[in-house]
Amino acid sequence: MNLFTYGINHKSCPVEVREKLYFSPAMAEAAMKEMSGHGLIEEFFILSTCNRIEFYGTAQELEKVHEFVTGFLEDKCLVRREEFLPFVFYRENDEMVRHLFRVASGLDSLVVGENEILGQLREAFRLANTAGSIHAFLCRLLEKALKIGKDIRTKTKINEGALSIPSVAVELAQKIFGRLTGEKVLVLGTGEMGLMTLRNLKHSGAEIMCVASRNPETGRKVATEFGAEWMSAETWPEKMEAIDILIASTSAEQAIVRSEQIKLLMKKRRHRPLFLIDIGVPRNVEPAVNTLDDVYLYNIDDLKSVAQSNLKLRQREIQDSEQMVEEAVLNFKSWKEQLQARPVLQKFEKYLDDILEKELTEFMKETGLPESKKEKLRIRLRSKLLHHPHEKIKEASKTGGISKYLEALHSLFHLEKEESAEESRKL
Amino acid sequence: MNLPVLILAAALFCYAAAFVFHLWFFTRLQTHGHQPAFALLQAGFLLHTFYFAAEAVETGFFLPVSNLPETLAFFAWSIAFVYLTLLAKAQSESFGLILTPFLLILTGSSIATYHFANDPFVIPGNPLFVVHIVSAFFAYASFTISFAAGILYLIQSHELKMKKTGTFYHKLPSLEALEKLVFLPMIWGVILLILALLIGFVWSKYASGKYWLFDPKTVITSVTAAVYAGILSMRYIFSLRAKLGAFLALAAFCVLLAGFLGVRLTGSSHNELEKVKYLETLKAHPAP
Repeated sequence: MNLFTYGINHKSCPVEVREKLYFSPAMAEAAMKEMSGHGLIEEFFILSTCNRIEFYGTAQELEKVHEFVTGFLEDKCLVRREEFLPFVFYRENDEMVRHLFRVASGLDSLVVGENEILGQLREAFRLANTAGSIHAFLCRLLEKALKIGKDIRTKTKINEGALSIPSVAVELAQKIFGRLTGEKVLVLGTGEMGLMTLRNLKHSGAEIMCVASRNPETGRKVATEFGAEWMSAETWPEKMEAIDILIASTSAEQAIVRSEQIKLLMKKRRHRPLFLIDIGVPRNVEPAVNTLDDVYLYNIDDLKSVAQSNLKLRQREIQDSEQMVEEAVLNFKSWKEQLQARPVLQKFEKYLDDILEKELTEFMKETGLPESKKEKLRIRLRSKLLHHPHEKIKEASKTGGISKYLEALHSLFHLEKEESAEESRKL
Repeated sequence: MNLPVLILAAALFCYAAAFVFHLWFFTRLQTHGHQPAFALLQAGFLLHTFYFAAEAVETGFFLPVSNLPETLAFFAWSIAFVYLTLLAKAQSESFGLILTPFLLILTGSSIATYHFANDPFVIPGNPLFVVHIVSAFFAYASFTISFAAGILYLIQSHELKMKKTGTFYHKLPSLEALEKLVFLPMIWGVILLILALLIGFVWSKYASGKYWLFDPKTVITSVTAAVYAGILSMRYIFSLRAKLGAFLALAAFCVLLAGFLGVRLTGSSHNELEKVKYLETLKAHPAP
C-alpha cells in the first residue's frame, strides 16, 4: 500500500497560480469520481482551499503518479504545467501521513493553529465519500487526521489567542465582559478595520447599536448591514451612556473622545466597565482615558502587541503539537505494517491450526479423552503459541522491523510467499 | 495516630497534590490542565468529609467545632464545600490555585494542633446550636471565596489596564465573571452570618436571659456582618465600582480574620478554652 500527496500551497505557490488550480466542491467531487475509475490510483481525495490544492491517494506504482496527476491538473484546470510545476511538492508514504496530520493540526497553515482547516478537511472527506473515491485505507487515514487535529487543539493552546486586530478586540471584550451576550457597540467611522472588528463582535454575540459617520449614505448602508441606527458625527455622544464598547475608526486629525467627557460619563453609567477600541491613526481617543477606573482603552499598537504576544504563545505550543503529530504518524505506520502483515500471519495461523488439528485428533484417539477436552486444549495451545509472535510483530511494526519477522515465518514454515503478497495488495 | 487523623492527613495530601497540579498547569498555560487538580481537590474533600464521620463515630456525637483542630478542619471543609458544590461552574486553574493554600494551611494546622487540643466537649443536644455553627462557618467560607475572587479581579483588572498579556491575562476568568464571584458569595455570607447571629441571640436569651452579651466574638461578628452588608448596599444601591468593591472585599476579610483569630486571645465564651466552663453554666439553663 503506497501513499502519496501532490499539491501546491501558500508556502511556495503565489496566489495567482493557486487561483488557477482551485477546485470548487463540485469540481473536486467530479474529479474524484473520475480518478476512482482509473487503474493507477486506488483511493483518492482532493483538499482544495484558498491556501492549498492537494491531492492525496494510494497507488501501486508511485513512479507513475507524479506524471499522471500533473497531466490531470493540466486537463482539468487548463493550465500549462510550466506554470505550476515549479511550485509543486510531492510526498510519499510516512511523509505523506506526516504532511496530512500537520495540515489537519493547523501546523502547516498560514495562521498556525487556525480551526478552519479541520472543517475543510472534513468537507473533503465527505465529498470523497460521496464520490466513492476512498475506501477503508484512506477512510482510516482521514479519521486519524481529523482526530489528531482535534486532539492537538484540545490538549494544546495552538488555536488560542487571537492574531488579527479584529479578533484581538473580541478577545479583549470577552476578557472584560465574559461571553458576549448583547453588549452594546457604537462605532465611529466606517473604516475597513472598524467594520471588520464590528463583524467579529457581532458574530461573537455583541449588539451593534449605532454607527456614527460624517457621510450619511455610507453610514446608513453600514447601519443597515448590522441592524443598527445611524447617527451623525455630532449626535453620537448622546448614546454613550448606553453602550459598553466603542470602536473609534475615523480619520479625524484630533482626538474626538476626550478624557473629561468619559470621566463625566462614567458617573452617569454608574461605573459599568467601558471598552474603547481606538484603531484610528492619528488616535481618536485621548490616551488619558485609560487612567480612569473601569475604562479600558486599546489603540492600534496595543492591539498589535496583544496579537504578537499571542503569536509567541502559539509558537511555544508548536513543539508539543509536532511531538503529538510524530506519535500519531508512528501509530499509523504501525497499524499499516500490521495490516500488511496480516495475510502472512493468517497463513501462519492456518499452518498452526492444521498441525494442531492433526496432532490433537491422534492424541485423542490414543488417550480416549472426550471431544470437549480437545477443543479446550486446542484453544489453549493456539493462544500460547501465537501470543509471543503476535507481540513481537506488533512491537516491530512500530520500529519498522516487521519484514524480517515475516521473512522468518516464510522460510521457517514454508508459507506460500506469492499468494500472501497478492493478498496484501488486495488489502 | 488514630484513624480520623490519618484520614485528615490523606485529605491534606490530596489538597497539597491539587495545589502542585494547579501551580504546574497554571504556569504551563494548558487549557484543560486543571482537571486532574480538580479531581484531587474532590478526593481531598471526600476524605475530609469522612474525617468528620470518623470523628463522630469515635466521640459519639457530631459537632465539628468542639476544639481548635476541629474548628480549623471544619473551616477548611466549608471552603471546599462552597467552592466544589455551590460554585461548581466557576472552577478554574486560577481560582483553584488561590484557594488550595487556604485548605492546606487550615487542614495542616488542624493536624499539627491535634494532639495539643482539649478533649472535645459535649454540647446540649439542640439542633439550633448546630445550625448556628454551620451557618457561621459557611458564611466565613463564602467570604473567603469572595476574598480570593477579589484578589483575582484586581490582578486581571491591572493586567488589562497595563495591557499585559501574560499568564494571568490568559488564565484568569473575565472581569465580569470575577465580579460575580466577589459579590455573590458575599450575599450568601451576609445572609448566613445574620442567621448565625440571630440564632446566637435567641440561644443567649434562653441561656442567660439576655439577647445581647458583650462577648468579643459576638461583637466582632456583628461588626463583620455590618461591614459586608455595608459593602453590598454600596454596591447595589449606590453603584459602588467593581474595583473598589474588590478592594473592600479584601479589607472586610481582614476584619473577619482578625475576629476569627483575635477572639482566641480573649475570654470569649466562643473560645474553646472558655467553652467548657461556659457550657457547664449553660446546663443549669437548658435551651428549648
